[in-house]
Amino acid sequence: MITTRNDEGFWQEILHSPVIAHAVPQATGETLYMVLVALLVSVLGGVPLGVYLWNSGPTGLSPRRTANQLVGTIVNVVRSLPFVILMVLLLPVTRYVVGTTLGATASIVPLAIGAIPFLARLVEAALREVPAGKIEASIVCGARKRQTILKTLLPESLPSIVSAITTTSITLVGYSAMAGLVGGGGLGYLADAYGYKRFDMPVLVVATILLIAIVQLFQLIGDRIARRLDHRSTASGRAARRRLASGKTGRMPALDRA
Amino acid sequence: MIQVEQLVKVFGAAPNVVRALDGVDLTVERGEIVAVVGQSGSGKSTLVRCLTLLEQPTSGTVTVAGQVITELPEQQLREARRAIGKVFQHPNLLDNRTALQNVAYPLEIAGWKKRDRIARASELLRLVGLADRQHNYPAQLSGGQQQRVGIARALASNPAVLLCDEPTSALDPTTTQELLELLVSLRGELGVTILIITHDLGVVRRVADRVAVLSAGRIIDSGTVTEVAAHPDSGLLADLTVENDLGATELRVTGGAVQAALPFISQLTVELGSEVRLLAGGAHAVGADHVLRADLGFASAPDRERAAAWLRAHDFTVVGA
Repeated sequence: MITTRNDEGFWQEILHSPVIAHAVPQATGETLYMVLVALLVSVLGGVPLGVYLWNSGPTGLSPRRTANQLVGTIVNVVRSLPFVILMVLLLPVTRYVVGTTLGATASIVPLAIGAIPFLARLVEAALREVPAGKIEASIVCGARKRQTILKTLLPESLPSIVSAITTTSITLVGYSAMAGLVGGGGLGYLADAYGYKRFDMPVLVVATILLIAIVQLFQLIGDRIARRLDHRSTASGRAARRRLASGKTGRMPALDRA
Repeated sequence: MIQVEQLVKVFGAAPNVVRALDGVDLTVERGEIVAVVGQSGSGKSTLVRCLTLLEQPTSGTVTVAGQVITELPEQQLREARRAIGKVFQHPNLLDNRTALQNVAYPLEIAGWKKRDRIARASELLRLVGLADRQHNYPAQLSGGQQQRVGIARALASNPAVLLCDEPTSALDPTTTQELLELLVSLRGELGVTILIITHDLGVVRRVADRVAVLSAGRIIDSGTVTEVAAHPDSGLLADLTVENDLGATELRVTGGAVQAALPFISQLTVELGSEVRLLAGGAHAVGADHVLRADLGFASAPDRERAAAWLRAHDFTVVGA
């Protein structure tokens, strides 16, 4: 146990542990593989589903009450299941799709199916933030519904959608660790198999630190992309802040008049 | 150019029915600037939404550029909408597109080639005075500049009609003035017909050729701006005049440009041999003309009667005696 060792011994153990030297890099790779492939699948499924939820909803371009409620209910059912239970329920599906229920690839199936409704709701909320006036402006330009969605709705909510995808990726990291508990592989499996079941505290600590690092990395990348895509106020705000920070006075661009 | 006939829009189901538009007739000739004024809740917004079919009218017809748009199927309606440019109260620009890309939006929708879109959009931005702002995002533009981009976008598909829904309501007075000058010059340069929906009576007096007053879903008054402003019960000067309750020695006098030019207060003083006080109002600029609307106070009730008679004889309209 950690309390029975001095600090130096603990870090020595981390450096010299064969498990950490060999299993940890592989497990990290598995976690990234699971999360990224599941993220890709959930974006491909969740974004269109979110658009459908918005578009068929009461404020959408093609309101369809019954269909919207039906899809909404399915989404809520999947979202309300704890992920561990969802995973078990999906075992037959996983076996059908992947051929096995063990390993990182097998985990991708429940991960993606769990994340699609989650992302869909976040995307729906992001789309609802687009002011009705912008959508009307597109309609009075003579746009088809498809054009309004592709050229106004999605580009205007893109920064929020990127944030939604970031949130989903972080949720997936958490889910993937849980998947590890039932034979899914990755850092979650390692932390459980060595850290929990064999009291190998250094492995547990390293796995935890790596999971935190992955989450931080995803958040950092997601925030950066979202900021780059967002021209709502940041472009002028950033320039103004830079000027203020550099001590140069001058008019704010937003106050300039032609 | 625009013809609205017996337009009715009913919201809700019985028994909670709201007749937002209750038989509106309105005609706008080619090249005219016509204003529709009304208070909040008078049906202005519903009218403008019905004109672009964002709201389906309950009954009645809207004809724009010879096409009855209220009867068009979806496909042709989209085409017809390109003949109507719409300027919104809030410009509703796309935040993640530059000014140029915003103006090019309707052209993109209509399937123009990229090079043609850019050429046309930058020409329009030059027309609205923003040639040097093409690559700025809306957040980098002032409210007035954003509205100019909105106007350029509305003009992109070369519409016959520019429909302006409260175009200046979010702007300060100086910017409002600049924007109105822009609209008048656009009418001159492009010959575009302009319908302005507003509650700002100043806007009406400065740019409109004709005005229609909307109240409770009906047009209650219409004509040239000078005519309507000179009506004694016209609301067109309501923002400039204080409505006094007239006392026994007071009266309200209104008149057109001829009366507004007369030194009638000094003439009345001489005529009556007693003082005449100006209680409120005066001569107000309307377009290039002036109209008169004033409340006067007299020394006595008989003086008031004599003054009323003199004023009527000189073609003033008198209320209160």
